[in-house]
Amino acid sequence: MFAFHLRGMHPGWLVFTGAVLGLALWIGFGGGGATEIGADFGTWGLARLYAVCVPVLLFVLTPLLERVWGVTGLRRTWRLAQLGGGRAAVDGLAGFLAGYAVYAAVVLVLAGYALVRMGLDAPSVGTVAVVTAAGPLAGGFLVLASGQLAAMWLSTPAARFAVVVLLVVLDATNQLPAAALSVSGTSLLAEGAGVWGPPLVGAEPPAAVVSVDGAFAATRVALGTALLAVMAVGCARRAPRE
Amino acid sequence: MIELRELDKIYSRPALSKVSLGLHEGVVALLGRNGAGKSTLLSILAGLAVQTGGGLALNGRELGRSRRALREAATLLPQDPRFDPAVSARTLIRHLLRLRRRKAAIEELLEVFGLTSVADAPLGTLSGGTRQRVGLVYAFAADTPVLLLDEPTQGLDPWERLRFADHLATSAGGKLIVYSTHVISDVEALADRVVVLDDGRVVHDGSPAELLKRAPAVWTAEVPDLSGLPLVTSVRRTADGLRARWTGDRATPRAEPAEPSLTDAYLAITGGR
Repeated sequence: MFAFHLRGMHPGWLVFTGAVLGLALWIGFGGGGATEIGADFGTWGLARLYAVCVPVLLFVLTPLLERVWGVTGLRRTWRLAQLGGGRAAVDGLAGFLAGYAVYAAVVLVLAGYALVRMGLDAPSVGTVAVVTAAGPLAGGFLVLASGQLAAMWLSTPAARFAVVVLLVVLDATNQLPAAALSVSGTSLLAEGAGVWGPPLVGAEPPAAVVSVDGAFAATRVALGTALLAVMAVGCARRAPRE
Repeated sequence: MIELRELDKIYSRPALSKVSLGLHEGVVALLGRNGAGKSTLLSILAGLAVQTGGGLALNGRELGRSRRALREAATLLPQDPRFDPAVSARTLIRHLLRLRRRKAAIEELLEVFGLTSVADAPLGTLSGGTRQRVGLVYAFAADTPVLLLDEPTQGLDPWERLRFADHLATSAGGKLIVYSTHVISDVEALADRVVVLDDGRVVHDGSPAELLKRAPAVWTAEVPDLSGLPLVTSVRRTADGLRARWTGDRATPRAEPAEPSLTDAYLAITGGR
């Protein structure tokens, strides 16, 4: 089922996207300078990694995944297969998760690069994993799911892109009102760790450890589950009426 | 198998009016002009549309508001199905069958419909007739007791039609197959029963032979022009004027009787508007 939903992906575009992001990483963190990934790699460097890679990924992948997530194509298939609401909901969720899996795979590759470059035995491994993997995976899920809901309700792919751009920009500027709405879950944590402010005024950021707060994680899981539930209902309502 | 009683369907205007039919095993041809209600009737039989009034029963069981049983029992191949152009025939058919939780070996059907060599090509690169055959493979592979085909031979060349007719005949056992068509020769070759819809109403329900009996008198003659002839069904130019064939009154003493056809009967009973 996942494989069918991923049929519309163009591998060439994925390779191109990966190459561009890899180049950005190499330029930013390839070695030398204060922000290189290594023993002295700080949370400011991590924040930069996040700030460069996650929005680019989201911006590039969102239109690229339109063929996977496009509601019109899904509805056409559901009608041809004469699906009722329940099975349409399952297929719709599978389609969303298939697209998300592409995003997650790229995030994990980028996170893996950062972890390997800094050395897996370094004391800040946990922080790096949170900021480059856990945060973007959780936050990206919420952003992409919100975009999918907008595209479903407004019946236009432009709504998906607009929502993704809006949430990413708001998060990057720390304008989202609560931790639960933060795109990646990392920017707020990074802010809390004191790595946002000092570099902007030319000061050196303090060493900080970023970890996942239990309540924060629970909020994210609840919000993600709620978005999936709403998405399932939306898919069921768009199936041919039983 | 499926009983329709006094079925009405109203969109912005009535699409079906007081349609009563008992549909059982066999091949039923559905004829009618464009907009007569054929596709609406097939959608209702597939459980994709709900009637506005009247009753519907499947295997003796009255269907309430739920159409789940009907959707399980029937497969509809819509007129001009719109497939994703990026997906291949094999992938699409397998996905549709998986969604319906039906297991089927499709290789033989791909072979029957001459699709083996293009089964892995994106559907967008195939001709309309080839895509139509892809739809037919899906419909037959679903192997449901009820098969509903909306103008299935549209876009098929004569050889492809022949292949379709052969497969329809061999796979019809134990199934109800309802197909709509404008090709009367298909009806003569395939159908046990013909239902003709006109403006949402059933105006004929019987065997092809019974439809033929309703054909009016048919005449043919050389005429200088077509004025005064009631319903001309064919005309060709000759050295002396026009060779016309028409139904209805004799119109001219030179007219000779001709053998009526199903087309004559169909035109006569749907020609009231």
